[in-house]
Amino acid sequence: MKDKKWILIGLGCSIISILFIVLSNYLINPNYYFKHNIFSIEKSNPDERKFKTNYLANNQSTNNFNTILLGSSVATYINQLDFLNMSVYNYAVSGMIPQEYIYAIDYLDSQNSHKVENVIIGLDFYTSNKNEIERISSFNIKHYISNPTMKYVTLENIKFLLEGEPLSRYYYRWKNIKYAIKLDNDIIKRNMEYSIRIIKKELNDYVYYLKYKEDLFSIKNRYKNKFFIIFIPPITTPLLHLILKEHFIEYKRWVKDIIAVFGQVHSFAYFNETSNDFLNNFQDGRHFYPSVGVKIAKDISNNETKHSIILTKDNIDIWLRNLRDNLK
Amino acid sequence: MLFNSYEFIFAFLPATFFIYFYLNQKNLIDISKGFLVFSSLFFYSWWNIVYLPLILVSMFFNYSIGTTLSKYKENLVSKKSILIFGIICNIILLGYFKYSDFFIENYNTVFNTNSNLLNLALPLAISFFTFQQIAYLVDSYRNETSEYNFLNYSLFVTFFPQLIAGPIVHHKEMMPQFSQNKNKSMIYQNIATGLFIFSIGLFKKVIIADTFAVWATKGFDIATTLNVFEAWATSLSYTFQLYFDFSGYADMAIGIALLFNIRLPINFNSPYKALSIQDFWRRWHMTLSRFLRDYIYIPLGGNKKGDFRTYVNLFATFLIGGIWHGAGWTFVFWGTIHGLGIVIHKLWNKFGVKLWKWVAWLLTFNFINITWVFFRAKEWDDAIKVLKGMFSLDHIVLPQFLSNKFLWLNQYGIEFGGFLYNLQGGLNIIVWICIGFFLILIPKNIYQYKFKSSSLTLFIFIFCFIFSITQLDKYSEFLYFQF
Repeated sequence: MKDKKWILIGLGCSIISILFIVLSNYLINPNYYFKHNIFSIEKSNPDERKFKTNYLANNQSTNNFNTILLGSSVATYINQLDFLNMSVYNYAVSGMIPQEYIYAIDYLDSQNSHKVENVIIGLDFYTSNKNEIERISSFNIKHYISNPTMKYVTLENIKFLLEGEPLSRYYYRWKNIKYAIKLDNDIIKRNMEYSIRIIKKELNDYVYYLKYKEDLFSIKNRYKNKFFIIFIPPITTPLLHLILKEHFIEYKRWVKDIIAVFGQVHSFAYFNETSNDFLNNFQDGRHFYPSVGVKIAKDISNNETKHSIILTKDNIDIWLRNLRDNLK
Repeated sequence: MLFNSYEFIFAFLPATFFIYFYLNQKNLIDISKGFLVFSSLFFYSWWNIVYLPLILVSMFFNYSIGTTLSKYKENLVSKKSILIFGIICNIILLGYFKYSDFFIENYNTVFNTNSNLLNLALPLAISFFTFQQIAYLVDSYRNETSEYNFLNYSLFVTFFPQLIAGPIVHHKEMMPQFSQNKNKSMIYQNIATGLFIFSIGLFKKVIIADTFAVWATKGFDIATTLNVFEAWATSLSYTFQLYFDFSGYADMAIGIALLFNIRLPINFNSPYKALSIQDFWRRWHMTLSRFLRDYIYIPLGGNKKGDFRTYVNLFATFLIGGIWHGAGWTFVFWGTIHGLGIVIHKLWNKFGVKLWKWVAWLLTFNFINITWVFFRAKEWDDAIKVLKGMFSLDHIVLPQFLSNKFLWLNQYGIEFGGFLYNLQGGLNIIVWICIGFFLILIPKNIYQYKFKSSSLTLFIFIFCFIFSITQLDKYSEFLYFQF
């Protein structure tokens, strides 16, 4: 083959292939990179940090939220439309840590028609684990906000097609709503065993993050005009039991730190009907179904305690004592 | 600007290439060279324009000293004094930006003071362009430089393919190429070869090195403890990351330069196939080794002053090489153990004991792998953590699937579960490490193949190029940019 021909074919094929990838990325739109939804495809297993950030950017002209919901993967199952009297954007993402909150709040403020008034935060116990924070910190949402996404030339669309429905146990639809498929009991039991193994590992590696309270204070002080609503998401009885057994002192300190900063916290994490009946309410040890999310949204919206308890400095000691008694 | 970025591949490189050859075609030779210098400075300034004056001043200064030296007739000031002045100025510049905080920190520790750190950002490529220009000054002193004009000299220093992370080029191999007329027009064979080598380098960096980088980072920077498998996986991940990252960069640099009909020197020759530490340094970062040999080891006396002085000279050269890589005790220690390693190798050779080839390889590879731990670790504690994990048998975790057959090992403290949990890569890590070993040991070095425009090379180019392009969304710099 002549060199000139080699160059022409090589560059020609490369350019055509890249154009094909660009076009298919545009049409399939796997991570809400573009504004359109031509094929109305359900998004399974997407990169939540990426698409929730892109979603805001692509709907800048119509974003009109007064509340932001932050939290970990469990909070992603709360339908943002289930909150009453609030227009909520669910910016919860898998493994979110408090060190990301400021970036998320500022970003939503910048993409919204006005600054949000309420911040709802779902706090999980792992957010107080120094080692877990270090492990997760490389995924910080600021990376997605500060670096314009390379949206045209990626293989995400192909991955998306390969990993697509109906195999995934959850999926996204437009309007940033996450759905979950009801799993068989055997699968849930297996998932539960796996969750216990993982959480045991995490708990073995647990070190209380000493700047936890300070970090939460700095978030609260930064947004003096916003109203904070804090909740602790529900968790299955076996996992809660394990956490309290292994790290009761740290758990106590964690809840007290939250109350010291925010005054009160809605706790859904205690031994009750929902946590005991995990086969109907949970997909694994931690992740509940959206039906549980409805209960959370209602309690929070109405400041009710039908499915939760509001913890303050006045009742925290009694509540913790009860929790410990339940362990015996 | 990174070689592995869209702006470089789709905008900067094609624009520079076509404009350069268009100007040459119109016989505007000096303007085309000037354009290449301008493009290179633009490329350099893309990160931070603040340091543009620094490289310009360094260039003017060294060119003035160099031309003075080459024309100098002994006068009030000796020629050697001018050379020493020139070298000291370069070392002060490098030392100020690279080592001042290191000295202040140590001064504070030793004398229990509290002097403020300067917190200077290291100007990009300063270690590389300083070394290149010191070589130019020394050769001017030896009357080994021709009368270069400033335009050619500027191009020699700033030529963008090699500006940021080498290869460390020598004026003797670059200047004649910039002047040759046959290099002024497009040569299709060079373009095809250049594109091919560039795509291989891009693939090495984006697909291989960046994959290992994730596990190396988790093991070194994030995990608090490592079991024996995690520790070995961490050190091997970094060993492979560094090689594929740096040699990938060198391939890309060589490929890009070839598009402009410039041949850069080879910088890697399958270094992990080395059978001794000396062999390794003849294959790894070859242009740095060449510089250290010609401008440090030989001027110190080389091997001409007896065995003892040879060992001292070798040790000193490697120590300087270690310090050149970075301002930190881990780098000093890394240079020291490489210096000691090469001295021991010399002594070993003197006794004439021959090792089996595979034993020699195993020893050499493990020496390199273990010493990279100091090279990579940000703190002493990180290095100790990884080494402790590698050599301590206190914390062994085996894969869960082995628990059925080997549960009895529990009584010896051996656990079952996520044996690579802290690296979060599962069996992928094992597969990639096997791929890494295969690639460093089995195929011949790319430069040992004579490139032919065939269907096979075409397929490899298209595959490597497209696949790498689709993975560019993970922003990652080259490791050697920090040195």
